[in-house]
Amino acid sequence: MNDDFKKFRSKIIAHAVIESVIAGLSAGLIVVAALLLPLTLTGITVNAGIYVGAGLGMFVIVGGLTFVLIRPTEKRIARRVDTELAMHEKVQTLVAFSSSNEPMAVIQRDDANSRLAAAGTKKIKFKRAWQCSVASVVAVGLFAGAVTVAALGGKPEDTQAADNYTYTRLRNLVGTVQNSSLDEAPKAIVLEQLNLVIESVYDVEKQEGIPLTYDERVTIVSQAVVNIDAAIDTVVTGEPIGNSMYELCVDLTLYELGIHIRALSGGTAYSTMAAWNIVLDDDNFNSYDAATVAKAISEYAAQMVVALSASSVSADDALYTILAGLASELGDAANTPAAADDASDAKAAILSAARDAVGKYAPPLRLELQAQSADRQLDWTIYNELQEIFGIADEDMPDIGEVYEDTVPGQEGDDGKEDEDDPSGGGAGRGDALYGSDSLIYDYTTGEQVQYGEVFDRYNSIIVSLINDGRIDEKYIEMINAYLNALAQAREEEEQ
Amino acid sequence: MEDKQNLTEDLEKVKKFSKAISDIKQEIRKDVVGQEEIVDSVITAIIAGGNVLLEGVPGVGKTRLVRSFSKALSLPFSRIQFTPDLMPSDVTGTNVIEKDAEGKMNTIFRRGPIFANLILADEINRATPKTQSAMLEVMQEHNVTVGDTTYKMQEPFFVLATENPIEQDGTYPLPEAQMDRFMFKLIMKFPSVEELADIVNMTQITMAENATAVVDGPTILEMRELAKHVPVIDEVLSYTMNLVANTHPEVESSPEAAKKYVRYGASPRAAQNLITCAKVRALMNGNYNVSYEDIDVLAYPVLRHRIKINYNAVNDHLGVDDVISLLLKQTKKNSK
Repeated sequence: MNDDFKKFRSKIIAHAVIESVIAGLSAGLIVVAALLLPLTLTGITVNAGIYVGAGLGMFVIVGGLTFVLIRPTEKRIARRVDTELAMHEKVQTLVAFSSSNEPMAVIQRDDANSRLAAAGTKKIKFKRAWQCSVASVVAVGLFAGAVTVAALGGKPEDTQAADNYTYTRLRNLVGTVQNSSLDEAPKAIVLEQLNLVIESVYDVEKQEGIPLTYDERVTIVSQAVVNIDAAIDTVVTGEPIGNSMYELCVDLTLYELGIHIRALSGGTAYSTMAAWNIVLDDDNFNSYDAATVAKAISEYAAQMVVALSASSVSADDALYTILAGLASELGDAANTPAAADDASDAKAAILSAARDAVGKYAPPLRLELQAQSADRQLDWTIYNELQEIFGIADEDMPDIGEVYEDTVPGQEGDDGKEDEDDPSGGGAGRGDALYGSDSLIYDYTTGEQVQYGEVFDRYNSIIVSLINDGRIDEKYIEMINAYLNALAQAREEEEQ
Repeated sequence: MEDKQNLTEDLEKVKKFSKAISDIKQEIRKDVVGQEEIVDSVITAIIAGGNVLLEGVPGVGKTRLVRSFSKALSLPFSRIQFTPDLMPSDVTGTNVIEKDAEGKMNTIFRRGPIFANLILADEINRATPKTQSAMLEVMQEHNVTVGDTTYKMQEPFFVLATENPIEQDGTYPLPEAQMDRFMFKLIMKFPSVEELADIVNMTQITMAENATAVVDGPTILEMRELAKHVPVIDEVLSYTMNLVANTHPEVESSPEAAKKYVRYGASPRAAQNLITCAKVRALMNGNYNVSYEDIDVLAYPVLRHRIKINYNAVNDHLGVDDVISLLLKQTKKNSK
């Protein structure tokens, strides 16, 4: 075939390749956009490789198919050249009779070639220029749009405005707080927080809700809940005190009492105290002398003092006052004047004084813990109500602490009922050796019953630290030191 | 070597062809004002070996046209005025008995006016069907049979028949089967005012034709032979066949225009004539291949006397040329 025709052929084939590539690219971009946009809007994340694969695949398929469909055969090329250069079928005739040696065919061929040479390939334009342009613009536009949406985080914000029902519920919550037994100071803070929430979500003047996105509702509720919890924490001191007793008291009774106090379980705490009171019966101490009994009671009191001091709760706190009062009166009971004598009267006097102290402080302890439990319950009520009102997922709500159970590890779960037949106290009076020796005690770090000597050093260092920090009242220091010295002496004797 | 020689010869023939066409047109222009389309069509028909039916009012130059052609082509010319009383023998000639010098009676064939190369058969529709048949037989066969003897016409043999569209009373319109023997039907229009002025100026001094001989009969035959070899691609052939087939309303694939406006369509002779004439036209225009344009232009003279339109066309004020235009359009559309 003549070189002139070959030039036209090359150009037209190149056009077809370019058009196919554009078609393939456009299809690829459109497919990627078609996948990216809905997935982004629905919040579904997929591997980027899927987009690349889909785009590439569509590029190859559509580009290949397009080229197959529009691929220029020599006939098609000839027809196109004839049309675009107004050659009146000269080139088609040239191609059709290219192998003919008939004189007229040769003359025709020469004539057509000379006209092709004169015309040049410049007049051959892209056949599908506007189609390619439209396809490219649409594809790039869709792709850019999808990428932009994805970059901006895609999922449209879902705003929700509080309705009148929501407003009513919030006002009811405010009323619940106002009518509660919460102390005035924390109550004021709680009410302030609730009113802030109401102002943030509802325009009272216009009587309409303020549209808020989910994230905005989470922020408002979280701030309120955290502040409310902090306010209520100031009066719910059973948790820190109970934790301190749980961690520092070696006496099993006190340890268990700490659990109940931590759980704000007034009933069970009362039961523990009541059981201990029963344990303090004269008959239970027949094998012990007065000094031993006094020592045991003194040590009990000392542990309570240590635990209270370590709790960081103010000494003005009601619960602190109750337990401090109990510890003080137990200490006094141990120091009952007849304690130095090894007479049964002295022992009876000590025990009687101890029982009086326990009996005196058990009811107020119970009442205080019940009140604090109600306050904590109010805290949770506000938390749950706000979460429900604003439809906030569990994982988006702030963590305001765990709910303690008053179940002593290794024992049956306590259902909070008073059970005078179930003395959860232990230790003295049970026939076991009194604490202060090498009796087994519960190690709270391992959950095992261990020799006291194994944990003595740890507890000793905690108590010394509290004394050095000035967090233990001076009137208790001598008693505590005596207790610790007794423990150390017992240990030395044991080792010997 | 032989191929190269043939090529050289054909190149010479092509050059000669182009020159001859140019010369002929130049000579005809000396005697005929305007009517370029008619002149080109007549040249095409002569070279293609066909005959022409010319429709035109009296005085537009039909006789002058043929006389001028006879001078330019150096071909004997004969005019036959058809009348209702014209006999076939008046056209073809007849045997007559003559006494020779010795007094013997001999039968001699006296040739009729048909024995020429260029014949003007004026108002052919005025002759009786019998006379028309005699004429048309000569046109078709290029010979005359009288008695037992057949006399061959000298090539190139060309008949230009005329029909007067005005005087239809007492005429014998040519039947369609006879019409099919004409390669072209041409419509000679009344000249424009400017052309009329030129005609008057030209013929004031003398009515004689001024054309001179520029080619001869053998040259015409060479040109005819050369034109036969012009290549035609399959697509153009197919287009031509489809066009002729589309003139038939009974054909299932025929277009809407045929089904609505045509009573009956063109014969296969129309397809033959189209291709033959297209080759000649291509060469006349300096092209060496047949194009779609050649077919489109020639469709009108080739098909207008072969297609019979129906009353729907008349009702829609469509003439046969309008219907041909519709058929061309729809054939083109279907071929894409």
